[in-house]
Amino acid sequence: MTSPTLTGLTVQDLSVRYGRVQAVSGVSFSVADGASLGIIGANGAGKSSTLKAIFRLVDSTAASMDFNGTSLQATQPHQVVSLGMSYVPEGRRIFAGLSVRKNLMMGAYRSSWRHLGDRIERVYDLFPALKRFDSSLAGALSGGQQQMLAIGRALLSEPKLLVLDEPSMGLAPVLIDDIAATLRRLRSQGVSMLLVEQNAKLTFGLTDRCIVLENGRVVKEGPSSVLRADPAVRQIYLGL
Amino acid sequence: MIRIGFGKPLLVTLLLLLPVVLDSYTVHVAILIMLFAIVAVGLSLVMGFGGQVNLAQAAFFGTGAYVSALLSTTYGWNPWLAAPAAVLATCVVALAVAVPALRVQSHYLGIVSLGLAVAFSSLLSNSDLTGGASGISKIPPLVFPGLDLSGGRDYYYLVAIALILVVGFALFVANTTLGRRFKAMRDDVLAAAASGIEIRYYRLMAFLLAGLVGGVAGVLYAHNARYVSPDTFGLGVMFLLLAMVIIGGQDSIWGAVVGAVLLITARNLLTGVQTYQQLVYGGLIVATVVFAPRGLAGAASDLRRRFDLPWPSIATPWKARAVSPAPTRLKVVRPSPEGVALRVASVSKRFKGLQALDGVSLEASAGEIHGVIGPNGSGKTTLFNVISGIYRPSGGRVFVWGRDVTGERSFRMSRLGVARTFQNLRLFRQLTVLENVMVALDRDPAHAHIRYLIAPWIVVRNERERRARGLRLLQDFDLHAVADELAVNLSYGRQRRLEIARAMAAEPTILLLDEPAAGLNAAEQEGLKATIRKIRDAGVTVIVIEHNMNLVMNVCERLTVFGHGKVIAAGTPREVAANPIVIEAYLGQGASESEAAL
Repeated sequence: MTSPTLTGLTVQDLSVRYGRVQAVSGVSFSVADGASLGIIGANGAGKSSTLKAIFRLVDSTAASMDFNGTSLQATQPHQVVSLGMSYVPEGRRIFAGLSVRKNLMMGAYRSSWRHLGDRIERVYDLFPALKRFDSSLAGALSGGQQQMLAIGRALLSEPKLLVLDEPSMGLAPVLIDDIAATLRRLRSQGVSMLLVEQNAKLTFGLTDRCIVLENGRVVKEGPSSVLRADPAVRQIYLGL
Repeated sequence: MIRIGFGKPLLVTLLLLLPVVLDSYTVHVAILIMLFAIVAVGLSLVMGFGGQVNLAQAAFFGTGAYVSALLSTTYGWNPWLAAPAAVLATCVVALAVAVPALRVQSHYLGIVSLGLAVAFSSLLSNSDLTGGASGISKIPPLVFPGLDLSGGRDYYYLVAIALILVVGFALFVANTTLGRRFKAMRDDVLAAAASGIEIRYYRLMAFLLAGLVGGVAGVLYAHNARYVSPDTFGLGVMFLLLAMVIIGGQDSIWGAVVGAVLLITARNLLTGVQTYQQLVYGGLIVATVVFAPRGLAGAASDLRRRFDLPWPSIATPWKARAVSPAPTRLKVVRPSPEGVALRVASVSKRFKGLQALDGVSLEASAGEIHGVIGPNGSGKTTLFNVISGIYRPSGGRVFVWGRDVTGERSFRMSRLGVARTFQNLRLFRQLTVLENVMVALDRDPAHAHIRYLIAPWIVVRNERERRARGLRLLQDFDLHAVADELAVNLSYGRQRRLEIARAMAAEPTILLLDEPAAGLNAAEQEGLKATIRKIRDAGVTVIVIEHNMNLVMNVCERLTVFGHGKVIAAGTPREVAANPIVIEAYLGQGASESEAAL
């Protein structure tokens, strides 16, 4: 058992291998309760693999990997959500053949269905654009609306930690602003956040701390405001 | 080219020497193995390479056998005349079975072809003409003057030669342009069409090859067994064929042969325990799917990769050879580099209840980099799909270099000099990087494949040329180091680059890029900007859909802004960025703020 002082997510020495390819090697980080962490890095740096490992969607090894004192290593993927973590996968992965409302209901699959209608309403408050499409098929939504739905679905289980994989991918600037504003609102409501992004600018603006992955290793970490000013980071990830 | 090497002559020698040491029963089994190997090779071509789920292969086998049997018994034809007639009849039947494939694919095609196969079986066992359940007996043998082919050993040689020819031809097809086009169409039908492949012809051709080969095996079977009955060509046999191809490895000609050897041998060993025969086949398939999903051939190639052994490979049959460096010029529409390259005139596209494009007009001058921006779902990709011939517009016209191309299909647009990339990466995943660009380099029309029969050396020469040009192109895109890697194994950034390289391989005059910067980091985006400029400097007009404003503002010379299926603004990047309508609908107020914060 871990000490009770450790709340939130802690990952020690995480590694992921796919056959001959070492995707993640020895990555450590933590997201305290109420805090936020960004992971930035190039394609194939191991960002998505790290998230998938936390949600037990890929095999991994780690010295420890705990959420609020529960070891994730002995946890099945479907149980991870019950612990209070929720995942917004890369590329939205909404259920295209289900209606918007049913997609949201799927987000509450593992949790209590009491006040389900209220929770769905709260998501519609957060993303008014979705409300109009309540009974339409999710596959008919535009890319931005699908991203909103994916985030909304993740919120239905009322997570303590929201984990997002590239929420800005392929979105119009005005929609990225929308999503960023929503995420900021959630942060202010006390939801902690683990955000993986290519868009470093967005990540720095939304998180307290960041780590930079290269070839599966952490090469830099620190407060977002400090990393934002780092010359090497500016050149590679901000293009300045 | 296909290397001859030492292995193949050795195999042929072994095959021809085998009857000397075998007793007559074993020779009989060997003939059966070879016949099934031929049928399985046909199934591998249509299903493994062409991606067409054909569950009527046993019926093709049966058609060849029955037609030859009928003609040489009931109608009294000379067997040597009946044989080619039967093969021809099988080809016709195969083309008829292929007709549904023009409309439906995957499991739908499976159920349709299965239905046809069931109908064939039931026809055989119920029709008086085919002798009902008792079949046709007393089929005359194929007699060579001076050679008695009714005996086992001599017939063995006839079948062995047929097998060698079929396997040789199938390997030739598999490793050259036709096989590559089959695989491209299997991996991604939209991208294959956009690379200039006329899908309909290739689906028909895949079935035709399967029918041809199945018919040959059927004829040889009928005149060897001298007796045909419906259960020889029923669903049990279809299942056996499927098992051979899956266990051997779907897209491997050798795999089909090995599968036939294994399963017919197993069938003979299991004749004593009929009850469990199907169970054993089933078990073998399950084991293959679990432990070697790409079949034995796939497992062999994985082993070879892991230990770096000189193993027969299914992925890299090519070895570098000296090639004449003279590049060939392509015959594409290459008009004067002035004027309007692309004109879209009030194009509309309506889907059921959704107006995706509503009177959109756009003009790109020659040599321009033209940006298309707008919110998600505003119709940008739909416009690309209309221009590249994937959709037919509901209204309006599209002109390429002044020529009205409205409603032309995808492969035609590719040949008219319009190439495109896809937003969500549509590479030919199971082809190598080099093969991906070779598919697009290959501008031969479908009827040029007649060369496989009348002038195979031209096929070989063109392949070498294409290979050399492909390698040069990969060098331009800095992908030559991974030329022999399967596209699916590339990193995301490289896959994005390969999409552009493949589009450029078709030597377009107009290039449509759909969100090329998606998922690229800032450093990679800089590389992309340089690439786009380089492509334009080579004389290609570039139309690019992008959300990345850094790229759009720095690279594009003119912009068209979409909103709800309409053009809401157009002009230079500076004009557009200052346009309040665009800021409201697309850019947002925050864009400029966060820019300033840096």
